[in-house]
Amino acid sequence: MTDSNALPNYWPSVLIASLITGLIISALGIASGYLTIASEPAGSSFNASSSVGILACLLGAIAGVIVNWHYAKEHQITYKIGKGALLGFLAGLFAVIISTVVSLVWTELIDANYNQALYDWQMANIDAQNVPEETKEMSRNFVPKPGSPIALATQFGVGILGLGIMNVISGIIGAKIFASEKD
Amino acid sequence: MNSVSVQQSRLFFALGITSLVLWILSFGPGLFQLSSESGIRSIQHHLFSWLCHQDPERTIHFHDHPMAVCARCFGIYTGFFVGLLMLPVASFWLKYRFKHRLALLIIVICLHFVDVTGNYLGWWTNTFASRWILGFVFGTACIALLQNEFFKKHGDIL
Repeated sequence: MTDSNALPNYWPSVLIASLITGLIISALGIASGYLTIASEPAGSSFNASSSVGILACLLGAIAGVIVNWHYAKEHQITYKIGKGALLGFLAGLFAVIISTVVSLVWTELIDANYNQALYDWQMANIDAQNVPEETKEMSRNFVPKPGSPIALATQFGVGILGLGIMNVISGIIGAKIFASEKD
Repeated sequence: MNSVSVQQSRLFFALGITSLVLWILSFGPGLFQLSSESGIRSIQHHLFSWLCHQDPERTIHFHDHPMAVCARCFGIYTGFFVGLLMLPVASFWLKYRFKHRLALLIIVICLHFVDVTGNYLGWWTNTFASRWILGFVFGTACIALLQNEFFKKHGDIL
């Protein structure tokens, strides 16, 4: 292995890692959405099936590990963990973009009733809450309709922040494991 | 005489601040005594929703509010932050090679799989404490990998 100042193109590795992670996140997100719709609204603010971590926590952070594994093995190179952090961030960023696009395709083209069913469930869940009517009204006004520009922007922004940070950390760890000179 | 030199200090401090912020946010709205009676999920819960199942039955409650992450993830963030704080001291006193630290991480990951599988199959029931401890060890094991990246000891290594 050699440590080079002019490192090879890392975009193929970023795209592969983000594609794998983005598709996993999308599949889990859509599956958990169907589980939510199928469940009885109980008035809880939280639902066990309402998040993407339905199978395993921190699954969204694997992009940082995958991208460094692929990049280091593909080119047989070593580099500093700061570079790994950058690769992790980019992979996390594109994973969120891919996940958002897949979700949009699914909800607009494959199952057009998905968003409405999810929204109806959320409204029924608010109705089932044991709080004053004015509080329920505030909640109804606050909940954006799934698939609306506000909901998409919120999901996208929070995703980039959450996955971006976590994949920086997993990118550092991935670079240490796969791309660093061993001590 | 043994000594420790600091490398990539900016990255170390950035990582320290990031892990501190993540750790504080993982406490959820209870840390700031924010009400969740409106049924609106807090920004902390939104932030971690991409990363954790946030099942309230598997989440520690803080000031009567569920934390933003499950007990296992809270242990991971705590272990990562504490491990980072201990890194300068650990770099001086602990003398394990990278392969040993990587082996520790792999063993801890395997322990998580065993714990989750055993719980799923009904062989045992894991608790908040057991999940938090395993998470803590995982977070610490991740940081242990980075030991010689930030603090290089000039002396013997086992």
